[in-house]
Amino acid sequence: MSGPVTLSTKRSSFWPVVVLCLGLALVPVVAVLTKQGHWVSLTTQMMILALAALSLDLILGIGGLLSFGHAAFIGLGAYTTGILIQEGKGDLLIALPMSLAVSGLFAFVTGIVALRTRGVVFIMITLAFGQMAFFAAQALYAYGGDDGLTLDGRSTVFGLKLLSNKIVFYYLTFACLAGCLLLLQRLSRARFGRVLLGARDNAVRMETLGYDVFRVRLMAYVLSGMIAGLAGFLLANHTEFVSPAYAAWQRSGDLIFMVIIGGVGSLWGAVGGALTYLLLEEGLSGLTEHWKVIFGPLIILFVLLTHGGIDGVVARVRDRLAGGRHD
Amino acid sequence: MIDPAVHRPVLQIEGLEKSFGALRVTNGVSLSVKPGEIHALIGPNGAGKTTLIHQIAGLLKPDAGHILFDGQDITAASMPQRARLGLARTFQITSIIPSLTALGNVALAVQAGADKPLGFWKPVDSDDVLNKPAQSLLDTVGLGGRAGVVAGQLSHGEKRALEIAMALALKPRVILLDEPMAGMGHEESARLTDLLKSLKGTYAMLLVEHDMEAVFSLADCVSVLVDGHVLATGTADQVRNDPQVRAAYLGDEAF
Repeated sequence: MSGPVTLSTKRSSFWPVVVLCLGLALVPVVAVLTKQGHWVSLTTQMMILALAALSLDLILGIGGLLSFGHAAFIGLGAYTTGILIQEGKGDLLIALPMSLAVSGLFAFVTGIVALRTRGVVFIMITLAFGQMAFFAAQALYAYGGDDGLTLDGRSTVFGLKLLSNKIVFYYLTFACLAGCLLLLQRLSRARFGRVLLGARDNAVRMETLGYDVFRVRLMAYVLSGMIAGLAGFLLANHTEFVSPAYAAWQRSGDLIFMVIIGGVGSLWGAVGGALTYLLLEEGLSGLTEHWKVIFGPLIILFVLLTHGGIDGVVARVRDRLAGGRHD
Repeated sequence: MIDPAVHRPVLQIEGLEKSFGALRVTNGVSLSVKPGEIHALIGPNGAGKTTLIHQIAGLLKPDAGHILFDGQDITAASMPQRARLGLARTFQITSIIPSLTALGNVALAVQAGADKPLGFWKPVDSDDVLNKPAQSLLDTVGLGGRAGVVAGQLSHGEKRALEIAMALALKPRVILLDEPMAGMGHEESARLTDLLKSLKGTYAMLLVEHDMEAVFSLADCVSVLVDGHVLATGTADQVRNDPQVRAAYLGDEAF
């Protein structure tokens, strides 16, 4: 998965990140002022999926590992939270660490197997593990099985029902997304990220330099799984519902598309890509029942025409502006 | 004054064997490299030179025999373990990280031996702990002025020099050089020969090379590999005048 994805560590993404974060921070304000309250909930959902796409970009973009089972981590986080809420132990202080632990453990165990493989085999193994999680969720008859499970409410915080306020929940989600974005950007430019990127370009070379490539990839895989698990925790609370569909392979495919639209390996692009993807889906599905007929070709055209997704477009615009100033 | 420790081989290979199916690519190879010397390994194409280097570096596991590094058996050690002991290598086909700059490539090699090779927080681009030694290594190999160039865009000769800088960054005791002059013009290989000559004495090197001019001007000791076994070992002159070697490989026009 290298190819056009060069220099992702060099390119500054300061302004795109600022614009993205400011924009998202202002959504509830604008929505309330214009009396379009449903946008708060809609944007919360989009940010949750953007968080999952961001976590995928760490291993796909920087690590070069195309995981096709990433939705499983969302599902695990969501089910852990949902089951705890149903069992009366849904407080954030229990549900959040448990969701992270379960998704992280799943990433660790499946990563030990999957990361010994490369290329198509890796894609197929991650898909298989993802489907295992999906069918396991379907088999949870005590918790709704096929139909999913409607929850009694959201997680409490120290026993308080803070998260039922949708503005509070919006900003919690926003903080998770912005925090993880900054964390991963920092990480990708630090020593760890350099090794992960080096292994993407030339794994044998990294081993002859003395790096344990498997261990580094496993660490990234677990971190990525935990962030997707965090997205699952948020999703279960947001929708007050959990369903096997959260872990379905179609959702894993959506996440890959979001990352590609945004520009593989740019991190902020994954967030922008997810928002674009979901806004487009939202807009088109309001127009016609057969929106997928338009959506599919549109996505393909977008990928073909932009060369490097949203991040690539922004970089070229910036280069042109910078070039103009020097002339 | 002869200190026996200095003359003990730092790298010793004993009875190494490797087959791919029915093909015996390494057939009982034994050789040793002493500290600070350049031991050249020559032989016709298909003699099994690269396969031998791969086994010493740990990319391939031998079927039988032993590899000793400073007296320690490393036959079963992994590639990263060997690298950390002080065994560095370059590749026959240029092997760098193309999307990083020249400086970034060497800094990444310096980082492998740093205190916290996997730090999560501090940005590497401004990390002088890595970048200063990396810059001075680039200066050593003559790439000081090319530090900011993306490695994928360097010329062939520059990439080969970059590989050597990366190997030196590991502070190795032994460097395995797999055809470092391959694909180079006369001028470039002359420059690389000078570089290797300046490193001789500080590092022990096992040099696989087809460029006979380079081999005979650099090597303290030459081994000739034919059909997976060592036909002769000796000084450049001894090997040059060995009738078996003449018949098998060099041909009279090489002299």
